[in-house]
This record gives sequence, structure tokens and C-alpha cells, in this order.
Amino acid sequence: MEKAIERQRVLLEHLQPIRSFSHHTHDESSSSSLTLIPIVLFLLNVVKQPSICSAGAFGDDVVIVAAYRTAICKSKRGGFKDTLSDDLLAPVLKAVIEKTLVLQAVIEKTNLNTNEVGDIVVGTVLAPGSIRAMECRMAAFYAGFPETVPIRTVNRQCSSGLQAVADVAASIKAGFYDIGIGAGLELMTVDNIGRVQQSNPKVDAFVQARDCLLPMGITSENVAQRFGVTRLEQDQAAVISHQRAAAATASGKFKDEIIPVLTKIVDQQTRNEKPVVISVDDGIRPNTNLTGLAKLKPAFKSNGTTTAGNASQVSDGAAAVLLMKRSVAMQKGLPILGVFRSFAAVGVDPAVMGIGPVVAIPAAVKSAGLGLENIDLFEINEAFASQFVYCRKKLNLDPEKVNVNGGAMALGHPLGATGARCVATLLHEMKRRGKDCRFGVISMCIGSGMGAAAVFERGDAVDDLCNARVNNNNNFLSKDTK
Amino acid sequence: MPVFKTPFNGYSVKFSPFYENQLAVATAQNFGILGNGRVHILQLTPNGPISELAAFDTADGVYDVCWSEAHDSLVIAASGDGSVKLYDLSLPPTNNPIRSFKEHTREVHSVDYNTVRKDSFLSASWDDTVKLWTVDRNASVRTFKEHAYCVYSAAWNPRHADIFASASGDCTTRIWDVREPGSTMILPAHDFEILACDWNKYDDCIIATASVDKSIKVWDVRNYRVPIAVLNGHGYAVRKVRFSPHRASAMVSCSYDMTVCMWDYMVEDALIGRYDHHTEFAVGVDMSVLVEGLLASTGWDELVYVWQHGMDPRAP
Amino acid sequence: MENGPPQPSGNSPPPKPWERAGSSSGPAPFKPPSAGSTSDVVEASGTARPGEIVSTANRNTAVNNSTLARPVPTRPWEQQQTYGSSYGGYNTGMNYNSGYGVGTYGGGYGSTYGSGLYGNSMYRGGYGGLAGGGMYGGGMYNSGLGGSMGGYGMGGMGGMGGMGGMGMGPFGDQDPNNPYGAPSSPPSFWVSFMHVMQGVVTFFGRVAMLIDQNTQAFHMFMSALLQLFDRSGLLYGELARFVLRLLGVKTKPKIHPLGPNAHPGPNALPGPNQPHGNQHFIEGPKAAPGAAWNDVWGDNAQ
Repeated sequence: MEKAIERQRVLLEHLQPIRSFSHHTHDESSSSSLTLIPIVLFLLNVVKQPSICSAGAFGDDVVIVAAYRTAICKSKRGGFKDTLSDDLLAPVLKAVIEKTLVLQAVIEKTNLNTNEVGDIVVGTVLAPGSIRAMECRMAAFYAGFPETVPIRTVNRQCSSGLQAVADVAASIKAGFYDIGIGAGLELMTVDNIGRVQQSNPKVDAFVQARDCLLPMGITSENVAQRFGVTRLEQDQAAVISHQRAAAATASGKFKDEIIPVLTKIVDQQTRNEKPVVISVDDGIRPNTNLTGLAKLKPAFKSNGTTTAGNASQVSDGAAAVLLMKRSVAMQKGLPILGVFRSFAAVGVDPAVMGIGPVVAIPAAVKSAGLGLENIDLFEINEAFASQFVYCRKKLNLDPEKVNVNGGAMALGHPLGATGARCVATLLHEMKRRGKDCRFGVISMCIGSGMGAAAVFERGDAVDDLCNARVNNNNNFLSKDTK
Repeated sequence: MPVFKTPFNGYSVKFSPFYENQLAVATAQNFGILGNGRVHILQLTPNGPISELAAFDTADGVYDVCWSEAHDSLVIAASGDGSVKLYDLSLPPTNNPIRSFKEHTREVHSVDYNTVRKDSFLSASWDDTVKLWTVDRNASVRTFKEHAYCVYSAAWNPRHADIFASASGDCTTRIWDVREPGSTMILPAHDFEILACDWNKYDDCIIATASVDKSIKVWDVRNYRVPIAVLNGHGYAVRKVRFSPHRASAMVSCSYDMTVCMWDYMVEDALIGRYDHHTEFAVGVDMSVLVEGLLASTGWDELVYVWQHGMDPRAP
Repeated sequence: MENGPPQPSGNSPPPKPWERAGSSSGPAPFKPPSAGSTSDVVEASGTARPGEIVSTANRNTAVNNSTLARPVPTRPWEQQQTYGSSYGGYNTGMNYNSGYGVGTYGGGYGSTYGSGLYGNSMYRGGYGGLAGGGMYGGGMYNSGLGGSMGGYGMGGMGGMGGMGGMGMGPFGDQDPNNPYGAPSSPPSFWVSFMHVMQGVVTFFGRVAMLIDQNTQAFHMFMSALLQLFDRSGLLYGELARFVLRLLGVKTKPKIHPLGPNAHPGPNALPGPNQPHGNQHFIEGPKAAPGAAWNDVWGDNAQ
């Protein structure tokens, strides 16, 4: 027994060398470890898997070490209705860095400084470009970034958040910098979906250009009509989305990815400001059912199938993803949440813009060197149930692998943030699923007729064993054992 | 690439110097902390799974194995109870071990067979000593005691029959001549425990040391003040390091960070490959002397992998 | 030794690749090799001392240490050993209580441990579903308990099995060979405990996951199990107390059935995962169920 304990201590000292030379400083180290308690407790929540990971690892892989989002709240009536856009972005920017820092402080004493971030790219859609860029820059300061860290915005409509992540990954691959943040932000309380005010007269000569002007709801009706997606199928998808999102919330799954935001809420009647912490998505209706949805009137066409219940919600939210070169993450001893494998954006007919994922997903999967059958998990944005159901059917995807924690119909679709939000949701779910889940795909359709998709690999993916066998040789007991 | 599941936690793997398809694996129950051990002799079959030729159980964990260079069926095992055991594969398990040398007072952590004179082997033990043995004697020929802490590894010089090196937790690597009473050279190679050392097969003055400080250092014994190269890249203590039998500057290492790394210490970006197929501490690794680029590794995940460098060890 | 020394059968391995390839880079600082067998060479040099046994007492550590730049580590087995004989040793000798009980496991695991181990498994035989959540009843059994071990061996470790409920579920029963599925006869206590330990370790899945923040915890965990074997003749209540001590719970178990962040009630929504100080939390305004679906694209998009 003594021997076993000694053996174990010899091995332990290989892992914890400092201690072996400083037994007399026991007291100090234990007191400092006491101060780390909250951090460690927190870490146990954040990092449920070891921080050593990778797969088919190359030093120049672009990896995701942190991905977080705010709760997603209904616009105008939700938790962020009185929050400023920069106040919404700052917490997630801060969180990806700070959580990583905390992580690192424990793992190793090296430091990731905020000034090591090479660029921040924010996907944002509705807000006026220059103003939003300014707000983002200000948010970076609120989040504690030094003036030396640049920031820019990107707008690829609904996929802006994913595009931001892809842009950062591409820049890291290109060698522009080693560490970057891809983020997304949308405050639909403030910024409305507008229309092109003065259209060029020649638009009538270009059918597809004209179709770009179609309201999104009409494109949804087009998809439903052209590809035969019934109202019932759409409502069913909505019910499932709400059920799954409610289940995920109830089981605390989203706690891994949501950063609580301290903000204020103004009471409608009394005009009193009240400080609140928003940490739960508020658009989910757990009791959504087919009967209720069937009663809703079509929102876009009198004989249509798209209703308020089977379309995505209009929401506020933000998300951020910290990416870096694998070699840098390893050097800093950071956990690798996921690996960015590929990205593709492809155009489709603007009149049925919702079919984007059908084209984009195979393109991205192919460029990752995979087949659809290799993908274990999908996050496909539910802009409208019509297009979502169509994409799922067309690609022949197992519904049990798609949007397992609900989608935009339940959570909401803050346009610019959705892509980055999906990264956080997907990677944390992949982490939870462990070995059964190696590759995941995020995809969404894009207004004006495009689709975007990206392939991610779980950070510590390991192939399944193929030929491990039971050893049944029991006649090998040597005399030594007797 | 084939995989073999061992019932206990892997500790060491060695290719046979005689047959390209044989390898020996040392395993210990319960992470080598408490319980039995088993030596597996495995056979690679072309395009098939790994089969087991023989297995020998021991009363305590087995931490290392090595093959005899003089006899193709002889395997030497380092046991946690301080004994060094000889197994003859040509005899039935019930007649084995044919020898059990019990002189070390603590765990034996490594054994290495002399490849030049092919008649003797070394055992390195946690009792701070290294012992020199020949198969035809019942007692050790000599004991080398100078280290002030566990000796984790001892390795013969591949070109010089009388020279070997030892790596110890006292943060030194010592070089010995079996004809000299004391060590002939002391390398204070790292600031932390040194867990392994190995000689370059093509230059008998070059030695590599692997340490708890996560680094591997390459030294020229003629000028041991400064290492020739410091190889960083492992995230935790480096458990074993081996020079390639085929390429002068290639090395392989395994670590508590669960990875196996290939290195070329002569080039600037020394890390030329990283394999993360193990899901527990990778503690045993070897390169085939007969097949260039063939690697084997084992770890606490109870798996033995054999693969060609550049391939995915887990690939079917 | 019945078989005599192995006869060196004239076979020798193929030449080493490096033997085929020329010589080394330059003059080596070694004496030229001697001819003859190793034992002859050593004996000729006068350094042979066959069969010498070096005990820890006469270990010669003074030799040639001048080049050591730093003090060598203390041997673990020469450090103060207070554990092994009594419980008290844990706290005084190794400082476990701060390093492990409170610090590393206290919240994340500890709470679930506490209830899983003590509240349910210990006294009710390992089934109780209060703490570990859905995965633990089944998981525990899959992982090696087999079902044939009687008495408190099962109970105690059932609690450990509860760890599966703590976010390590996916690693649960991953042993492809699972040799403990259906034991034929009741094993001896020792064997059953080894099985149990293996099951627990399997449940932990990756010992390595402990090595970052939890090195101390790993040590503690293993020591604890070993200690458990040692005291296998323990009385029921003794065992319970011991396990409690393992958990770093000194006297009063800090039982917290659902963990620090959970709210009571089956449908409770999760609270924020990182409380900042003492702010009060609300879950955001809620629309009344069944409120109109009015805030959708229709508002703006037309």
C-alpha cells in the first residue's frame, strides 16, 4: 500500500514538477490555491474536457478556443430592448478574452494579452455601416481592448457572423495575424429591416435583380410553393424547434455558451430603470403546439403558409468567437474547442433565397475533404420553416442531427449575430457529445439569394477504434503469478 | 493501421530486432500503481489485426521490456517489484520466466540490451542505481550508484560496447564506462527530472534527454555546456525519447500530454509530426529498426498502435 | 531456473542500419572498446561487484554531486508519511483539505459527490436517483460493478459512479471489452474492489482530464481508492465517514443536491452561469403564454 502511494507520487511529480522541489512551501501554495477556488469552480463548468486536444493536428490549423454569446431576446419587448448595441457587443468580446485568460492563468502562467489580438471582425447587418463600425470600435474599448487592436465590420446579410469567423480564419491562414476574434451583433429593436428606397428602373429588365427586392417572407412562400413544403411540415418544424430549445434551456445546456449581460430595463408605465442580468433566451415558448400554430394567419400572402409562428423571430443578440493558430494555442496551453475546417458561400436564385444551404453545405463539406455522411451535427439557420424543412429534406439529413438545441424559430434570428451564435451553440454541443461527434456544419440562407456553410471539427476529436479486440488468452498465466 | 487492446495500462513497447513483425509490450494494472503486470508479445499480420503470440503475467506491474540481441526469443522485463525477468518465447508460459533477477530494492523502470556486444543488458531503478547484467549469470555484474534520485532510463551507446548513459530524477544524465569506477561525465541537462535519454545512432557523441520540463534537449558529449538543440512542443513531461535507427537527426518522443511527436533536431522547425491518437498519457514509443518509418506506441489508454510515419495511427 | 541459461543460438539480428553506415562525426571522448565479453571486461577493470544490493540506507549520494545545480527532490517514500495509518494523516501530512476538498472538487464535483455518495449510494445501496441525474443509475452498473459484489463495496462505489452524472457522461462505459458484464461467481473482496476501482476509473474516463487543475485531486483520488482497499474490513459507518473525508468534507457534509446553480423544480430555467458578485438576477421579461405571435418578419418586411 505504501508502495502504491509512493509510486503514484513519483508519477504525480512528473506532472507537477514544481511541487517536488518545494515541499516546504506547502502552506503558501495551498493558500494561493485557495484563492483560485472560484476560478477553478468556474472552469469546471466551462471546461469539461481536457485542455489537451486536437486531431490530424497541424500547427497552422485555425482553431477556436472560445465561443460565447449573449442570450437572444425578442426585439422591442425582450431583455435587450433598452440596451445599446455597443453595450451588447462589449460583454462577449470581453468574455472570449477574459474566459480564455482565466483559463490560462490556471493552466499556465503565460499571458494572452488583449493586445495580441490581431483583428476583430464583427458581422452586422441592419445598422448603418459607418455608425455601426464606430459603435463596434467603442465596444472594443468598453471591453478593455487597447487602442492598438483594430476592428472592422462585415456584412453578408444573415451569414455575417459566420462570415466574420471565416474572415478571421482566412486572415490567420494567410499569416496576417495569429489571433483574431470573429463576432456578430444585431439589435433589431433599433434597426429595422429596410427596403431599397429608390430602385433603378432597369431592375425590371433583370428578373433576378428584381427578385432581390422581394420581401424575405415572399421568398419563403416561393420556396414552399416551388418545392412543395406544406404548412403542416412547417408548423411541425416550429414545434420541434421550440421543444428542443426549451429542453436545452431547462437542462442548462446553454449555460456553457451564454454570457450573462448586465443591462437595464425601462418599465413601460413607470419609466423606471431597473438593472437586470440577462442570461436566458426569452423567445422560447415551451408550450408551442400544432393546434396553436395552425390558428395563425399567413403573414405574407393570404393563401400562404408562412406565419409568425413558423418563421424566425426578430431578436437582439451578440456572439463572439476567439480563433488562433493551433501552434499558438498549444504554446499558450489553451483548450481547443474546435477546428475551423472550411467555409463556402454560394449564390442561388434570389426568389428562393432560402435554398442556400442546399448548395452551400455540400460545397463546404467537400472542400473539407468530407462527405455529408461524416457530419455528425448541423446548425442550419431556421430563417423560415419552409426553407429549413426543404434543405433538410433535400440534403436527406437526419432530423436528430439538425438543430438539436432548437433554432431561430425558437431562439430568434439576430441577423448579424446568428452565424457566430451558431458557432458557440454547435461547438459546445459537440464538446458535450464527445467522441460521437467529430464534424459539425453551420449553414444559413442569405437574403438576395446566397447560402453560406462552414465545417468545424471537435477540438479533441479522436477516431473510433476499428480493430480493438478482446484478448481471451487465459492460458498464459505464468508460474510467476502463483 | 492496426491497434491492439491490452487489458492493463501500457507502459512500454519495443520492436524485435530480429523480426519486423514482432513487438513486445509492457503493461501494468491500475496505471502501474497497484496490481499485476503483463508482457505481451505481439505479431503484426499483413493488412490484418495485431495478434498475440504470447503473454506473461507478473505479480507486479511491468514498466519496460527489451529484446535480447543475441537470441530471437528472449525478452527482458523490468518489474515494479524490483526484479528483472527473462522470458523465453519458445517455452510455454508455465516454464517462464526462465530467470528472475531480484537485486533492485525498488521499481525497475527501464531495461536496455547492449546492441554492440550483444551479451549484456542494463536495468535502471528507482533505488537510484543502474545494474549491469549478463544472461548467463545469476547476479548482476556491476552496480552503478551515483544518482541521487530515481534512475528512469539507461541506454547503451549504439557504437561503443562499454559506454552507456543514464537519466535520473536528480536532474542529471550521467555517462558511464563499464570499466570505470564512477561516471565519466555528468550532464546537468535540465532543471527538472530527466525521464529518458537515448543516443544518436549515427553519431556516438550525440545524446538526447527528455525531461519533466516538457523539453527534449540534444547534447554533444564533447561540449556539454550548451545543448545542440532544445525541442519544445510537448505540453507535459516528456516520458520517452528515441533516435531513429534510420535517419541521423530524426527522433520520436512521447509525453504525458498524450501525444507522440517526431522531431528532426537539425532543422529549425524541429517538430515534424505530431500524433494525438492516444487518449491517455502516452508513455511508450519505439521505432522499428527493420522497417524504416514504422512506429509503435502505447499508453495508459490500454492501446498499442503500430503505424507508418506520416499515416494516421487511427486510420482503419 | 529449471531450464538453465538460454543457449545463445547462433542467430543474431540483422545488422543495424547505423552499422552499415560508416562511422561517427569525429573523435569520441571515450576509451576505445575492449575486446571480450562484457563480464570479462568489467572484471578485468576491477570495478565488478557482482550481486551488490544497494539499500536505501547505504545509498551513496555524496559521490560526484558537485555539478548538481539544484537540490534534488525528496523521495516520496522518504517524506513524512502520515497517511495510510489513520484518517488524520490526510489533512496534516498532505494538505489535502485545501488543495482538494474545498478547492478543486468542492463545487464542481463536490456537491454532487456529497449527495451521490453519501445520501444515496452509501445507505441505500447505490440506486437512489436524487443527485446524479439520469445517467448515473445505469452508468454505474455498466462501468464494472457487475452486480455480484455484495454489501458496501457496491454501495460505496456506486456513489463514485455518480460522478458520471457530473458532466463526464460521454466517457462512461467506453471499455470495449467490458469484461465485467456477468460475473459467474461472487469474487473475493479484493477482486471485487479491484473491479470496482477499474469501474470508477473508467467512469472518470480520462484520468488525464484531472491533470491540469486537478493534479492534487488525481493523487487524492487514487490514494483514496488505495486506502479503501487497505481498510476493506471497515465497518459500514466507518466506511461512510471515510468516504466523506475523502471528499474533503470534514464533519458536516455540504450536501447540495442539485449543485450550486440549479434552481428547484423540474422546469426551472438555469440561472446565469457566472454570477458577478451580488447582483440580482431575473430571467428577462416573459411574454404571457399564448400571446400573439406579432413580432415577426411581417412587421418590417413588407
